[in-house]
Amino acid sequence: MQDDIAKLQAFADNVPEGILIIDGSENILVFNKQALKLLGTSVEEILLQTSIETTLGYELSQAIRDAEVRKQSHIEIFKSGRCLHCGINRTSGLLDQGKQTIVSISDVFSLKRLEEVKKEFISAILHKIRSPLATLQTSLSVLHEYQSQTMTDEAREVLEMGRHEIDRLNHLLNSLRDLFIIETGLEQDDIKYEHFTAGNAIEAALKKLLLLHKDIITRVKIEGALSTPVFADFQRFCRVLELLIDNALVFSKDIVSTSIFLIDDLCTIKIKDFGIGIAEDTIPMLFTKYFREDNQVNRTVQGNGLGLFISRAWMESMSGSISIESVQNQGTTVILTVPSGSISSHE
Amino acid sequence: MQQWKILIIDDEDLLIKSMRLSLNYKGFDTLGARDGIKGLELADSFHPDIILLDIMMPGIDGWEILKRLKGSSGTSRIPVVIFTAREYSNGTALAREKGAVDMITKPVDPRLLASTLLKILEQNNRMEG
Repeated sequence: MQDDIAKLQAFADNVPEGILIIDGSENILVFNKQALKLLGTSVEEILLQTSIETTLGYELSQAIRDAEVRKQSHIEIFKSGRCLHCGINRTSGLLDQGKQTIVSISDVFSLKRLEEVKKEFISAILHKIRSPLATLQTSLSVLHEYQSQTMTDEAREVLEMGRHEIDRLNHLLNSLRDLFIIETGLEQDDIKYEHFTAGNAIEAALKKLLLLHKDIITRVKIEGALSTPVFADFQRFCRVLELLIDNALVFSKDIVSTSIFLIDDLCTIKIKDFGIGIAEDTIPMLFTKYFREDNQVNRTVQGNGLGLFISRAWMESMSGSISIESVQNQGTTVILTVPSGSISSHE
Repeated sequence: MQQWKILIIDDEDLLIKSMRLSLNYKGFDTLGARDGIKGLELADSFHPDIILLDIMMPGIDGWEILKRLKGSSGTSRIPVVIFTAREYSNGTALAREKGAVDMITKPVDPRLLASTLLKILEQNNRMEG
């Protein structure tokens, strides 16, 4: 038993949150320095405790007593001038005998501040990288547009390598920005709904992809009513289309068909390629972060495995959906649905 | 063919240079300003047909420059395109709300930039009659 407590103490000493482990008789078995600091108490006070109420206060003690096995509960308390977030877990498997309660304590203000700092840091990094990248891209494009005819083949090849890598870096930067917003739970904060047409969104996505796929005009066929209304975040929806059409163009050498339908107040867009397809058991995993299927295209095309993860998060954030149907060696269809914003569904 | 005049206001000197090179090749007449004060002066004296305006700049930021441009009788009719490295979730709407005609996020392909600017200029020309 003492060995187990020592192990738990070692664990508690290595986590950033305040940790308390309390047994069924309300003895504090384990506590770390951060817990003492946040609760404004001392080792002596804990060792001399007559009841947990004296050390932890009424609210937290009551929450610990009310905790149920295998159910996590939370409470926010004010102690020593701080607002503390306490996560409470009752468990029976931690030590040999009886039930124990684990309390993890964090300073709410510090957590919020940390989130703010993280947001500012990422935003500054993205901004600082974009500026020199813009200069590089413009400079190399000037060379390409106006000087490439007079260059040697080797020089032209080096120039194209540079341009290609800048495009890749831009693509990665956009994915990192999206991932950051999704991972920090900001996708609902930052959303801006507006009415637009499916045609506008597809046109904007194709414009962006023109940089990566020079043959896009001849390869992407659009069917259905371009005027189909959509009620969503325009930039976010365009980004999903951009990611999906890019995927379709990469995974097939043939035509990519983009068709638009209006079904029951939902704008549905199907993006179909006639490429190598996807194994059925792999489809659910495609929406996992960093997942890349092992196939002949992925072995040669560099990617970050974030496109479908981001697409699903964006579609769900706009009350939409994304699904995939695929037959190996025949092709893949990605189906997007998003509210059309008709009066009956939104007013 | 009409030679359009473009003023680029951006604190990134190298970006101004590369954009001027690119737009000059496309037949535009360009000038650059590295800060807001210089930008406002050139907007008055150079009489550009369109202004490309960065937002995050030391000193007066782009939004304030836009406000001053729109508040002055000599420059209020010049269309302004916000040209920023910062991503806004609804950039065009925000730009329009503040008095600009559009927002373009850096980096942008120079051909795309030139065609977007031409479109705005021709549209503006038609409206001005």
